[in-house]
Amino acid sequence: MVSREDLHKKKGASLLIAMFYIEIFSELMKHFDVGTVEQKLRQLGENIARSYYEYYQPKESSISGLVKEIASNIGGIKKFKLTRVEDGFIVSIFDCPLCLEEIEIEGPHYCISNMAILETLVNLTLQDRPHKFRYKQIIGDIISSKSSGAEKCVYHYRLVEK
Amino acid sequence: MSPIKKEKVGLREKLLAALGKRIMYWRAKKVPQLLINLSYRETIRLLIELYGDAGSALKAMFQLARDAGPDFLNEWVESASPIFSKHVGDHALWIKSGYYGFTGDHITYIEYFPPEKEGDPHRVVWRIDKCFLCAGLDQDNTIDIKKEDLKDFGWGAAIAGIFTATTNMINEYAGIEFTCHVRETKCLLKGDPYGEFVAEFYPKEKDAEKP
Repeated sequence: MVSREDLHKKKGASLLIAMFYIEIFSELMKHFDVGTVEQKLRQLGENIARSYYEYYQPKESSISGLVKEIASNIGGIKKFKLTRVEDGFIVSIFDCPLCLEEIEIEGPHYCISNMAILETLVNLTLQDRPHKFRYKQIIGDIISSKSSGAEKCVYHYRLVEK
Repeated sequence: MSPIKKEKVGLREKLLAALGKRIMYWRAKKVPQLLINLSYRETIRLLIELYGDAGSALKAMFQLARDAGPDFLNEWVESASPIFSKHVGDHALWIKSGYYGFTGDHITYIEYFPPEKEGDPHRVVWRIDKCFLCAGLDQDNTIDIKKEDLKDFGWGAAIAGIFTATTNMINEYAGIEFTCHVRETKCLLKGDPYGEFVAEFYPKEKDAEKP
Protein backbone atom coordinates (compact mmCIF):
# COMPACT_ATOMS: atom_id res chain seq x y z
CA MET A 1 0.00 0.00 0.00
CA VAL A 2 1.35 3.44 -0.91
CA SER A 3 2.09 5.68 2.08
CA ARG A 4 0.24 8.91 2.78
CA GLU A 5 3.57 10.75 3.07
CA ASP A 6 4.17 9.89 -0.59
CA LEU A 7 0.68 11.01 -1.54
CA HIS A 8 1.39 14.55 -0.39
CA LYS A 9 4.09 14.78 -3.05
CA LYS A 10 1.97 13.29 -5.86
CA LYS A 11 -0.72 15.28 -7.64
CA GLY A 12 -4.12 14.35 -9.04
CA ALA A 13 -6.88 16.31 -10.75
CA SER A 14 -8.89 18.44 -8.30
CA LEU A 15 -11.93 17.56 -10.41
CA LEU A 16 -12.07 14.27 -8.50
CA ILE A 17 -12.62 16.08 -5.20
CA ALA A 18 -15.15 18.40 -6.82
CA MET A 19 -17.07 15.31 -7.98
CA PHE A 20 -17.19 13.69 -4.53
CA TYR A 21 -17.98 17.00 -2.89
CA ILE A 22 -20.95 18.02 -5.01
CA GLU A 23 -22.50 14.60 -4.50
CA ILE A 24 -22.09 14.55 -0.74
CA PHE A 25 -23.34 18.14 -0.61
CA SER A 26 -26.51 17.15 -2.49
CA GLU A 27 -26.97 14.04 -0.33
CA LEU A 28 -26.65 16.07 2.87
CA MET A 29 -29.10 18.69 1.57
CA LYS A 30 -31.65 15.90 1.01
CA HIS A 31 -31.36 14.69 4.60
CA PHE A 32 -30.63 17.72 6.78
CA ASP A 33 -31.48 21.40 7.26
CA VAL A 34 -29.06 24.10 6.10
CA GLY A 35 -27.52 24.63 9.55
CA THR A 36 -26.75 20.93 9.99
CA VAL A 37 -25.29 20.65 6.48
CA GLU A 38 -23.05 23.63 7.20
CA GLN A 39 -21.88 22.07 10.45
CA LYS A 40 -21.19 18.69 8.79
CA LEU A 41 -19.25 20.26 5.90
CA ARG A 42 -17.22 22.31 8.34
CA GLN A 43 -16.47 19.14 10.30
CA LEU A 44 -15.48 17.40 7.05
CA GLY A 45 -12.88 20.11 6.42
CA GLU A 46 -11.59 19.95 10.00
CA ASN A 47 -11.20 16.15 9.83
CA ILE A 48 -9.26 16.40 6.56
CA ALA A 49 -6.96 19.07 8.01
CA ARG A 50 -6.26 17.15 11.23
CA SER A 51 -5.26 14.05 9.30
CA TYR A 52 -3.31 16.07 6.75
CA TYR A 53 -1.30 17.68 9.52
CA GLU A 54 -0.02 14.26 10.61
CA TYR A 55 1.78 13.95 7.28
CA TYR A 56 2.62 17.55 6.44
CA GLN A 57 3.28 20.49 8.77
CA PRO A 58 3.40 23.96 7.20
CA LYS A 59 6.82 25.58 7.63
CA GLU A 60 6.19 29.33 7.39
CA SER A 61 6.64 31.52 10.46
CA SER A 62 4.03 34.20 9.82
CA ILE A 63 0.28 33.78 9.56
CA SER A 64 0.14 35.29 6.08
CA GLY A 65 2.99 32.98 5.06
CA LEU A 66 1.13 29.99 6.48
CA VAL A 67 -2.04 30.86 4.59
CA LYS A 68 -0.12 31.24 1.34
CA GLU A 69 1.76 27.98 1.89
CA ILE A 70 -1.38 25.98 2.71
CA ALA A 71 -3.46 27.49 -0.10
CA SER A 72 -0.75 26.81 -2.64
CA ASN A 73 0.80 23.51 -1.47
CA ILE A 74 -2.36 21.75 -0.28
CA GLY A 75 -5.32 23.48 -1.92
CA GLY A 76 -3.65 23.87 -5.31
CA ILE A 77 -4.91 27.47 -5.24
CA LYS A 78 -2.92 29.84 -7.46
CA LYS A 79 -5.14 32.94 -7.65
CA PHE A 80 -5.87 34.40 -4.25
CA LYS A 81 -5.49 37.63 -2.32
CA LEU A 82 -4.82 38.20 1.35
CA THR A 83 -6.12 41.43 2.88
CA ARG A 84 -5.53 42.64 6.44
CA VAL A 85 -8.69 43.87 8.20
CA GLU A 86 -9.15 45.34 11.66
CA ASP A 87 -9.81 42.09 13.53
CA GLY A 88 -7.89 39.69 11.30
CA PHE A 89 -7.59 39.02 7.59
CA ILE A 90 -9.62 38.13 4.54
CA VAL A 91 -8.68 35.50 1.97
CA SER A 92 -10.23 36.00 -1.49
CA ILE A 93 -9.95 32.96 -3.74
CA PHE A 94 -10.52 33.16 -7.48
CA ASP A 95 -9.79 29.52 -8.37
CA CYS A 96 -11.44 27.52 -5.58
CA PRO A 97 -10.86 23.77 -6.07
CA LEU A 98 -14.36 22.93 -4.83
CA CYS A 99 -16.51 25.54 -6.54
CA LEU A 100 -17.85 25.10 -10.03
CA GLU A 101 -18.34 28.35 -11.91
CA GLU A 102 -21.20 27.17 -14.07
CA ILE A 103 -23.30 25.89 -11.18
CA GLU A 104 -25.17 28.06 -8.70
CA ILE A 105 -26.16 26.12 -5.61
CA GLU A 106 -28.67 27.06 -2.94
CA GLY A 107 -28.02 26.30 0.71
CA PRO A 108 -25.02 27.02 2.91
CA HIS A 109 -21.92 28.66 1.42
CA TYR A 110 -20.70 25.86 -0.78
CA CYS A 111 -16.96 25.70 -0.06
CA ILE A 112 -17.19 25.99 3.73
CA SER A 113 -15.04 22.82 4.02
CA ASN A 114 -12.20 24.63 2.26
CA MET A 115 -12.42 27.50 4.73
CA ALA A 116 -12.33 24.98 7.61
CA ILE A 117 -9.27 23.16 6.22
CA LEU A 118 -7.30 26.41 6.14
CA GLU A 119 -8.52 27.43 9.60
CA THR A 120 -7.67 24.07 11.21
CA LEU A 121 -4.22 23.78 9.61
CA VAL A 122 -3.27 27.28 10.75
CA ASN A 123 -4.59 26.58 14.27
CA LEU A 124 -2.67 23.30 14.56
CA THR A 125 0.49 25.13 13.56
CA LEU A 126 -0.15 27.91 16.10
CA GLN A 127 -0.64 25.28 18.83
CA ASP A 128 2.54 23.42 17.88
CA ARG A 129 4.79 26.47 17.57
CA PRO A 130 3.35 29.01 20.06
CA HIS A 131 6.70 30.78 20.54
CA LYS A 132 6.76 31.76 16.87
CA PHE A 133 3.39 33.51 16.75
CA ARG A 134 1.66 36.38 18.51
CA TYR A 135 -1.77 34.82 18.10
CA LYS A 136 -3.16 31.66 19.65
CA GLN A 137 -5.97 30.98 17.23
CA ILE A 138 -7.85 32.09 14.13
CA ILE A 139 -11.63 31.79 13.83
CA GLY A 140 -12.93 31.45 10.31
CA ASP A 141 -16.18 32.45 8.75
CA ILE A 142 -17.27 32.24 5.14
CA ILE A 143 -18.51 35.44 3.49
CA SER A 144 -19.16 34.27 -0.04
CA SER A 145 -18.57 31.34 -2.31
CA LYS A 146 -18.47 31.09 -6.12
CA SER A 147 -20.83 28.14 -6.34
CA SER A 148 -23.29 30.05 -4.17
CA GLY A 149 -23.41 32.75 -6.83
CA ALA A 150 -20.54 35.09 -5.85
CA GLU A 151 -17.69 36.24 -8.10
CA LYS A 152 -15.08 34.83 -5.76
CA CYS A 153 -14.82 32.83 -2.54
CA VAL A 154 -14.17 35.07 0.45
CA TYR A 155 -13.18 33.76 3.88
CA HIS A 156 -12.85 36.01 6.92
CA TYR A 157 -10.52 34.94 9.75
CA ARG A 158 -10.50 36.66 13.12
CA LEU A 159 -7.17 36.65 14.94
CA VAL A 160 -7.29 35.76 18.64
CA GLU A 161 -4.40 37.14 20.70
CA LYS A 162 -2.74 35.12 23.45
CA MET B 1 -25.19 9.72 -36.01
CA SER B 2 -21.77 9.17 -34.45
CA PRO B 3 -18.91 11.33 -35.77
CA ILE B 4 -16.54 8.34 -35.25
CA LYS B 5 -15.84 6.35 -38.41
CA LYS B 6 -12.66 4.47 -37.51
CA GLU B 7 -13.22 0.73 -36.94
CA LYS B 8 -10.22 0.22 -34.65
CA VAL B 9 -7.48 2.41 -33.23
CA GLY B 10 -4.13 2.26 -35.01
CA LEU B 11 -0.61 3.41 -34.28
CA ARG B 12 -1.51 7.07 -34.84
CA GLU B 13 -4.28 6.95 -32.19
CA LYS B 14 -2.02 5.09 -29.76
CA LEU B 15 0.65 7.77 -30.12
CA LEU B 16 -1.97 10.49 -29.78
CA ALA B 17 -3.29 8.81 -26.60
CA ALA B 18 0.20 8.63 -25.10
CA LEU B 19 0.72 12.32 -25.75
CA GLY B 20 -2.84 13.42 -25.01
CA LYS B 21 -3.01 11.84 -21.55
CA ARG B 22 0.12 13.74 -20.53
CA ILE B 23 -1.25 17.01 -21.87
CA MET B 24 -4.55 16.38 -20.11
CA TYR B 25 -2.78 15.73 -16.81
CA TRP B 26 -0.49 18.72 -17.28
CA ARG B 27 -3.43 21.05 -18.01
CA ALA B 28 -5.61 19.80 -15.13
CA LYS B 29 -6.00 21.85 -11.98
CA LYS B 30 -4.14 19.66 -9.51
CA VAL B 31 -4.04 19.05 -5.77
CA PRO B 32 -1.96 16.59 -3.70
CA GLN B 33 -3.32 13.05 -3.91
CA LEU B 34 -3.35 13.08 -0.10
CA LEU B 35 -6.08 15.72 -0.20
CA ILE B 36 -8.08 13.52 -2.58
CA ASN B 37 -7.47 10.48 -0.34
CA LEU B 38 -8.68 12.26 2.80
CA SER B 39 -11.61 13.98 1.07
CA TYR B 40 -12.74 10.58 -0.16
CA ARG B 41 -12.44 9.08 3.33
CA GLU B 42 -14.56 11.90 4.76
CA THR B 43 -17.16 11.52 2.01
CA ILE B 44 -17.45 7.81 2.78
CA ARG B 45 -17.64 8.61 6.50
CA LEU B 46 -20.67 10.86 5.86
CA LEU B 47 -22.24 8.27 3.58
CA ILE B 48 -21.83 5.65 6.35
CA GLU B 49 -23.66 8.05 8.66
CA LEU B 50 -26.44 8.40 6.09
CA TYR B 51 -26.72 4.78 4.97
CA GLY B 52 -25.73 2.87 8.09
CA ASP B 53 -22.72 0.76 7.04
CA ALA B 54 -19.63 0.81 4.83
CA GLY B 55 -21.06 -1.56 2.19
CA SER B 56 -24.14 0.61 1.66
CA ALA B 57 -22.00 3.77 1.72
CA LEU B 58 -19.70 2.39 -1.01
CA LYS B 59 -22.70 1.33 -3.07
CA ALA B 60 -24.03 4.90 -2.76
CA MET B 61 -20.60 6.26 -3.71
CA PHE B 62 -20.54 4.05 -6.81
CA GLN B 63 -23.96 5.34 -7.85
CA LEU B 64 -23.09 8.97 -7.10
CA ALA B 65 -19.86 8.82 -9.11
CA ARG B 66 -21.62 7.06 -11.98
CA ASP B 67 -24.42 9.62 -12.04
CA ALA B 68 -22.08 12.62 -11.68
CA GLY B 69 -19.95 11.42 -14.61
CA PRO B 70 -21.91 12.96 -17.48
CA ASP B 71 -21.81 16.43 -15.86
CA PHE B 72 -18.09 16.35 -15.14
CA LEU B 73 -16.58 14.24 -17.89
CA ASN B 74 -18.21 15.61 -21.03
CA GLU B 75 -15.28 17.86 -21.81
CA TRP B 76 -12.79 15.00 -21.42
CA VAL B 77 -14.83 12.70 -23.68
CA GLU B 78 -15.05 15.37 -26.38
CA SER B 79 -11.36 16.24 -26.19
CA ALA B 80 -10.38 12.57 -26.35
CA SER B 81 -12.56 11.87 -29.41
CA PRO B 82 -9.59 11.82 -31.88
CA ILE B 83 -8.51 8.51 -30.31
CA PHE B 84 -11.96 6.87 -30.40
CA SER B 85 -13.01 4.04 -32.69
CA LYS B 86 -15.99 1.72 -32.98
CA HIS B 87 -14.17 -1.27 -31.45
CA VAL B 88 -15.26 -2.18 -27.93
CA GLY B 89 -11.82 -3.64 -27.12
CA ASP B 90 -10.23 -0.21 -27.59
CA HIS B 91 -11.74 0.80 -24.27
CA ALA B 92 -8.50 -0.57 -22.75
CA LEU B 93 -6.58 2.30 -24.36
CA TRP B 94 -9.16 4.91 -23.37
CA ILE B 95 -9.37 3.70 -19.75
CA LYS B 96 -5.58 3.75 -19.47
CA SER B 97 -5.41 7.29 -20.88
CA GLY B 98 -8.26 8.56 -18.71
CA TYR B 99 -6.79 7.12 -15.52
CA TYR B 100 -3.45 8.79 -16.19
CA GLY B 101 -5.14 12.06 -17.15
CA PHE B 102 -6.84 12.29 -13.77
CA THR B 103 -4.18 10.83 -11.46
CA GLY B 104 -0.82 11.05 -13.20
CA ASP B 105 -0.42 7.34 -12.35
CA HIS B 106 0.07 4.54 -14.83
CA ILE B 107 -2.15 1.47 -14.81
CA THR B 108 0.32 -1.38 -14.45
CA TYR B 109 -1.75 -4.02 -16.21
CA ILE B 110 -4.70 -3.71 -18.58
CA GLU B 111 -6.05 -6.21 -21.06
CA TYR B 112 -9.05 -6.74 -23.30
CA PHE B 113 -10.73 -10.16 -23.34
CA PRO B 114 -13.22 -10.94 -26.10
CA PRO B 115 -16.15 -13.23 -25.13
CA GLU B 116 -15.10 -16.89 -24.76
CA LYS B 117 -18.56 -18.18 -25.58
CA GLU B 118 -21.82 -16.78 -26.80
CA GLY B 119 -23.53 -14.65 -24.21
CA ASP B 120 -20.34 -13.73 -22.36
CA PRO B 121 -19.51 -10.03 -22.17
CA HIS B 122 -16.48 -8.37 -23.72
CA ARG B 123 -14.22 -7.52 -20.79
CA VAL B 124 -11.45 -5.09 -20.02
CA VAL B 125 -9.49 -5.94 -16.87
CA TRP B 126 -7.02 -3.57 -15.23
CA ARG B 127 -4.92 -3.55 -12.10
CA ILE B 128 -3.54 -0.85 -9.86
CA ASP B 129 -0.59 -1.65 -7.61
CA LYS B 130 -0.72 1.57 -5.62
CA CYS B 131 -4.21 2.87 -4.96
CA PHE B 132 -4.31 6.52 -3.89
CA LEU B 133 -7.80 6.13 -2.40
CA CYS B 134 -7.09 3.43 0.18
CA ALA B 135 -3.52 4.53 1.02
CA GLY B 136 -2.97 4.77 4.78
CA LEU B 137 -6.34 3.33 5.76
CA ASP B 138 -4.72 0.29 7.38
CA GLN B 139 -3.14 2.64 9.96
CA ASP B 140 -5.95 5.19 10.18
CA ASN B 141 -7.43 5.19 13.68
CA THR B 142 -10.15 7.74 12.80
CA ILE B 143 -12.18 5.25 10.78
CA ASP B 144 -12.63 1.54 11.39
CA ILE B 145 -13.21 -0.33 8.16
CA LYS B 146 -12.95 -4.11 8.15
CA LYS B 147 -12.74 -6.03 4.91
CA GLU B 148 -15.99 -7.86 5.62
CA ASP B 149 -17.75 -4.46 6.00
CA LEU B 150 -17.11 -3.67 2.34
CA LYS B 151 -19.53 -6.40 1.13
CA ASP B 152 -19.73 -6.47 -2.70
CA PHE B 153 -17.73 -3.27 -3.14
CA GLY B 154 -14.11 -2.26 -2.75
CA TRP B 155 -12.85 1.01 -1.31
CA GLY B 156 -12.40 2.30 -4.87
CA ALA B 157 -16.14 2.25 -5.62
CA ALA B 158 -15.84 5.81 -6.97
CA ILE B 159 -13.33 4.67 -9.62
CA ALA B 160 -15.76 1.96 -10.72
CA GLY B 161 -18.55 4.56 -10.86
CA ILE B 162 -16.51 7.12 -12.78
CA PHE B 163 -15.41 4.53 -15.36
CA THR B 164 -18.92 3.13 -15.70
CA ALA B 165 -20.00 6.66 -16.61
CA THR B 166 -17.03 7.32 -18.90
CA THR B 167 -17.20 4.07 -20.86
CA ASN B 168 -20.93 4.51 -21.46
CA MET B 169 -20.39 8.12 -22.57
CA ILE B 170 -17.74 6.96 -25.03
CA ASN B 171 -20.04 4.18 -26.27
CA GLU B 172 -22.73 6.72 -26.97
CA TYR B 173 -20.33 9.23 -28.57
CA ALA B 174 -18.62 6.64 -30.79
CA GLY B 175 -21.78 4.69 -31.61
CA ILE B 176 -20.55 1.51 -29.90
CA GLU B 177 -23.70 -0.55 -29.28
CA PHE B 178 -22.75 -1.81 -25.83
CA THR B 179 -23.64 -0.99 -22.25
CA CYS B 180 -20.83 -1.13 -19.73
CA HIS B 181 -20.74 -1.87 -16.01
CA VAL B 182 -17.47 -1.60 -14.08
CA ARG B 183 -16.89 -3.67 -10.93
CA GLU B 184 -13.99 -3.56 -8.49
CA THR B 185 -13.04 -7.22 -8.18
CA LYS B 186 -9.94 -6.91 -6.01
CA CYS B 187 -9.10 -4.34 -3.37
CA LEU B 188 -5.90 -3.80 -1.38
CA LEU B 189 -8.02 -3.03 1.67
CA LYS B 190 -9.57 -6.51 1.42
CA GLY B 191 -6.08 -8.03 1.51
CA ASP B 192 -5.73 -8.57 -2.23
CA PRO B 193 -2.24 -8.00 -3.67
CA TYR B 194 -3.51 -5.25 -6.02
CA GLY B 195 -6.66 -3.37 -6.93
CA GLU B 196 -8.48 -4.84 -9.91
CA PHE B 197 -11.37 -3.51 -11.96
CA VAL B 198 -13.38 -5.30 -14.62
CA ALA B 199 -15.40 -3.44 -17.24
CA GLU B 200 -18.05 -5.73 -18.74
CA PHE B 201 -19.65 -4.81 -22.04
CA TYR B 202 -23.02 -6.26 -23.00
CA PRO B 203 -24.74 -5.66 -26.32
CA LYS B 204 -27.44 -3.04 -25.84
CA GLU B 205 -30.35 -5.29 -26.80
CA LYS B 206 -29.20 -8.00 -24.37
CA ASP B 207 -28.78 -5.47 -21.60
CA ALA B 208 -32.32 -4.23 -22.22
CA GLU B 209 -33.62 -7.80 -21.71
CA LYS B 210 -32.03 -8.00 -18.26
CA PRO B 211 -34.51 -7.72 -15.37
